[in-house]
Amino acid sequence: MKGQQLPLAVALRETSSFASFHAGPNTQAVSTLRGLLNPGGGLALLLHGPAGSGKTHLLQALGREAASLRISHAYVHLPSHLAELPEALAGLEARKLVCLDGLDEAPLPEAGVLALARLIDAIKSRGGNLVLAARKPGHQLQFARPDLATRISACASFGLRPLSDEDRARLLMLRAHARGLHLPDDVAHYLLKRLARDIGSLLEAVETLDRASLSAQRRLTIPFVQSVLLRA
Amino acid sequence: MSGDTLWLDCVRRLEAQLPETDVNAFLRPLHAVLSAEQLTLLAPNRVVVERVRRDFLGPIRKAISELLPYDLTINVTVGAPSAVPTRTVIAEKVEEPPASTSFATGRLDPRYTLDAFIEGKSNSQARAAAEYVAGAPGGQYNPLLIYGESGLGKTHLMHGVGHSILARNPRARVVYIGAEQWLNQFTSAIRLGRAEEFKNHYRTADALLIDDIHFIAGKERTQEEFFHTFNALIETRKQIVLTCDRYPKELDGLDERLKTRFAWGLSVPVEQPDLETRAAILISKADQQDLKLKEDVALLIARRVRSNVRELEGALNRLAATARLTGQPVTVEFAMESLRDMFAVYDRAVTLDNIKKEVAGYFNIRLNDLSSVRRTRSLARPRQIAMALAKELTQHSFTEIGDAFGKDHTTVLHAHRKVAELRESDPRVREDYSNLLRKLTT
Repeated sequence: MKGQQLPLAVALRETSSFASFHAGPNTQAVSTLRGLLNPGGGLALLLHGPAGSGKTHLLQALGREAASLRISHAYVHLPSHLAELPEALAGLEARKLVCLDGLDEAPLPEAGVLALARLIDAIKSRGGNLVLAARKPGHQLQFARPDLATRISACASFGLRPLSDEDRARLLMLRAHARGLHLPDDVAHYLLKRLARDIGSLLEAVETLDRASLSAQRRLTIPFVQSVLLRA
Repeated sequence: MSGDTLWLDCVRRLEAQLPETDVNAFLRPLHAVLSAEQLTLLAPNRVVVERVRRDFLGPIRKAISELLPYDLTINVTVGAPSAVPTRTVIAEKVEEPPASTSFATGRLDPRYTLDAFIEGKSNSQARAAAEYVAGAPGGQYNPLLIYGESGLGKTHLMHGVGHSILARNPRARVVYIGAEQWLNQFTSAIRLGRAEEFKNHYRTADALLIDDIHFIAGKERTQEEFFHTFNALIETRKQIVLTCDRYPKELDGLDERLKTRFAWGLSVPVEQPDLETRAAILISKADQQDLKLKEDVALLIARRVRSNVRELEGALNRLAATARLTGQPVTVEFAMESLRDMFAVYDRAVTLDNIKKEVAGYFNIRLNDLSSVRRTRSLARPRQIAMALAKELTQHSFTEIGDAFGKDHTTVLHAHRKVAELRESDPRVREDYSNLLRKLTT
C-alpha cells in the first residue's frame, strides 16, 4: 500500500448542469430547454431518447438553473411514485416550471394517467412550462387512457440523438475535466474502442479511473488505463 | 388519513386474529399508500408479497371494510416508500392563497373561449349548441353533452360555455371539474365525514361542467351521488355541461337512469376536423403565439397531421420553438425540415400497401379482391374507399394509385369523386371512411 493515497469513500458527484452536458447533435433541444427559463414561456416539451441519452441530466440541469434564477419549479420521477401519483402531482400546476421524468419507464396506473392529464391542462391554462421525458417518441407512447396520449402529442417534441464517436470522446473529456482529471484525446478514444458504448458505462469508467488515478497518483495514460480496466 | 395510519389500525385488528409471528414477519414490515379507490401495500420482497396474497388478503379486506365506510381495491406489490430525490418541489416565496372552498375545482382555461373555437363541418353542431346554452343556461338543452374522441375540442367548448356564462353574469358560480376529481373528492368527503359539505358545494352551482363523465361508468356510489346532484340542478334550472368519450347510450356501466336523463338534454358530437378546418386551427393557434403562419405552411402540416387537434398543436409548437431559436422565417421548406421526423412517422404509416391491408381487414375481404375485376357492390365500394383514402393520405398520383390497384387513372378519379359524394349523402360510408382514416393516422 506504500505510496498509494486512499481515495475518499464518497466520490464527488458531478452535478447535473448544462455546462457538464455535451450537446453534440442535440443543441437545438438543449437551447429550447434553456429558453424555458426566459420570461414569457407557456411551452410544453417532450424530450425523448433511449436510456442513457441524458434526459434526466437535462431535466435536473434545468431545475438547478431555475433554482438559481429563483423560478419556482418541480421535478418528479414518475416511476418512483406509481402508487400515489395523484398525490405526488397535486398542486404542481402552481410552479412556473414542471419537469416530469420517466414517463414510459413503467406502466402508469389509470388514476395516475388521469391526474397527469389534468396537471398538463392546469399547467397550460396557467401559462406554465412543462417538460416531459420519455424513452419513446410521443406517437409510440401508450397509456391506460387516450386522454394522456393526445395531450402529450400537443407537446413540441425533441428527440435526443445519439452522440457520434467524436462527441462521445469530447463528453468523456468534459466529464473528466469537471472532476479535475486530464483525459488525453488518445486515452478517450482508447476507452471508446474498449468499453460498452452507452454513455452510462463510459461515465462509470471515468469515475473508476478518477479513483484509480487519485489512489495511484498516476496520470491517465493508455498503459495505466489498461491496467485499471483489466483489474476491474 | 394516510395509508400508513390506516394500515396501523388494520394491523392492530389483525393482531387479535392471527399468530403474532405471522403479524411480525409479514404484516408489520408493509407500508401502505392510500389513494381514492386503492390501498397499495408495499412489501420488501416477493416472498412477503406471495405470502400476504395467499394467506392474509381475506382478513386484511375484512379489517379494512370495518375501518372504512366504502370499498377499496387492495393491491400488494414489492416496493418501498419513495425516497426524497425523486420529487423536488421548489415553491415561490409567496404561495398562492388557499382556495376559498376545500373542494378545489379546476380553472377555466382563459384561452378556451367560444370566439377562439374554430368551426368546421366536424364540430358546427356542437359549437352552435354551446353558443345556445351559453346564451340561455338552464333552458332547453340541459344537460348539454358533448361527445367525441380525445383531442378534438370537447373541453374547449365546455370551457367556452363557462366563460360565456360568466361574461354575461360575472356573479354566476360556474364549477368545472374532471369526473375523476369529482370521484376522489366524493370518496374523501365520505371518509372525512364531510358528505353534506360536498353535496352543498356542487348542488348550489349555477353551472356545473364535468369533463370526461365516462370515468364514472361502473362506479355505482359515485353515479348515485351524481344522479342526485344532477336532479337538484335540473330542478332549479341550473345548467349542466358534460363531456364524454362516446355517445352516452354506448357507455357500458353507466346507470340506465343517467342515460335516460342525459337524453333529456342535447348530445352533440365533435369529430375529426377536415383539412380546411385543420389549417384554420393551425393559423389561429399560431396567432395566439404571435407566429405568422402562411396558408401554404398550414396546409402542408394539416395534410400530414390529421388525427386530432392536439397533434396539430404539437407540430406547431415544434415549428414555433425552432423558428424562435433559429430566427428563420417559417416557409414550406423550413417546416419540412423542422418537422422531418414527425412527417416521416406519418409517411411510414400511410403507404399504399398499408391502406389496402387496413381496408381489406375492415371490410373483411381478401387483399386480392381490392385489385380484382369483379364489380359486385360488396367489393367495388371498399375498393373505391381504398382508392379515395390513398389519394387523400399519400402524395401518389392518380396513375400511381391506379397501378397499385390494377386499374387506370380514370377509375381512381371516379372513385375519388364518388366517395366524396357518398360521404355527404350516406352516413354509413361517412362512418366507414372516418373509421379507416382514424385507423391509418393514429
